[in-house]
Amino acid sequence: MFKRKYTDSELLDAVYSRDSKLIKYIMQLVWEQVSNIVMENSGTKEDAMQVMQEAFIAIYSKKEKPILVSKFSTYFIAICKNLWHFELRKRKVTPVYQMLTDEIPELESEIHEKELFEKRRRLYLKYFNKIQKVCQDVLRLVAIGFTNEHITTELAFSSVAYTKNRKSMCNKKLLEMIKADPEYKELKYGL
Amino acid sequence: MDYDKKILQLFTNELDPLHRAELKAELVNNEGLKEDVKLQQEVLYTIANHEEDYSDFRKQLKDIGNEFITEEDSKKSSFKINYWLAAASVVVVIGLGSYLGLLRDANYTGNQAFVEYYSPYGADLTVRGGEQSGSFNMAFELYHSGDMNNAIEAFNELREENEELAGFFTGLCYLELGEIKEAKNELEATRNIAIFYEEQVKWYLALCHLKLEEYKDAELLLTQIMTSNNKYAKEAKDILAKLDS
Repeated sequence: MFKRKYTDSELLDAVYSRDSKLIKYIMQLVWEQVSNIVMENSGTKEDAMQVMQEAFIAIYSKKEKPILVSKFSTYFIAICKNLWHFELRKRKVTPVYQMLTDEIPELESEIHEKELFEKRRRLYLKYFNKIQKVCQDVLRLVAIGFTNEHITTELAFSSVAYTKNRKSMCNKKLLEMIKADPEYKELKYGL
Repeated sequence: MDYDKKILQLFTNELDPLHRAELKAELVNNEGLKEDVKLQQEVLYTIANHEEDYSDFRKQLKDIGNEFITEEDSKKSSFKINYWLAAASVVVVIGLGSYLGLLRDANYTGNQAFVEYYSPYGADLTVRGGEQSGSFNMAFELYHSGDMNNAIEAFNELREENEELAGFFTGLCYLELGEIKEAKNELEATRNIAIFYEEQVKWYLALCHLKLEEYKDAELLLTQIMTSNNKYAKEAKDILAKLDS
């Protein structure tokens, strides 16, 4: 009655080549399951669509094309499921930079100095992208508000003590690199 | 003193009250420290709000997604439980006879549980349109309309591309046809690969075991369902209680 339209390899290639027609086809292929899990786990249809789009980005941003050991749809759905569960965990925490607003100057007021802040932001990211991948992962989770216990679980570290140590070392390394850049000395006066 | 560590702990709320007060006091007059706190805050803000820059691809995905959702919204028709689902399911007819017979028995049986708790999946499913989704549409429409034999064939054709969806719905079709062993085999196979329909597969598989009076298997699944707090948890708990009594 029906014929299979595309192979798994074709579907995977379509993500890398950003083939609109096949990307839409993939959406149709997995929408039933993705919307089901998101909407039955505190999400909306819009969340489901967002998760699906992030899954495309997650695959596309991989430097090496993955070797599929399952159907493409299974692989894609598994990514969506992980992304949604991560999003739910994220929603339970408060980003750390939002804390302490009563004790230090408001970040918002600084952000209004858009141009200068943008330059500093680029500088921070320049070095953030240079530190180890594991350090990036740790600091990203710290920044969005995950506790040491959550980070330990999320990144499968051996202990909370290890996480604390790693977090501190990664942060120190990043700040040192930023401060050592001559550009920082110029930009910091905007702080 | 490792100020970097302390400052980070200030943000992550890990400083004890004493050290926190000390740091706050020092912040008042120490410009260098103030600068470091600000730097830490900005770095954390930057990291938390940083997304890999694939803005052009994101825009493309957003456009495709909007088109997809618009098509879905314009063509979907809410699926109401059809008469075939409500009235004359072969399984229910068969089961009902047994159920009525067993009402005279004090023991609550698997067959009785099946009759009481089985209902077809998908009362709120939607049927979508669009050129690309012809095969999906057709399979769901066949299922919705009660044409189970053709629905099985249609879902089978989708197996290569989405084996979980195909396996789950094929199992449901067999259930509707009253072919419980076939349904069980299909759902058991699907359970191994189930990601999104995991809960549903377990539930309908448990009902198959009940119908076939395979109590140990049913009990195991029902216990898993009950402890997972999913939408079938209450029913699972009820059945286990009734079977125990």
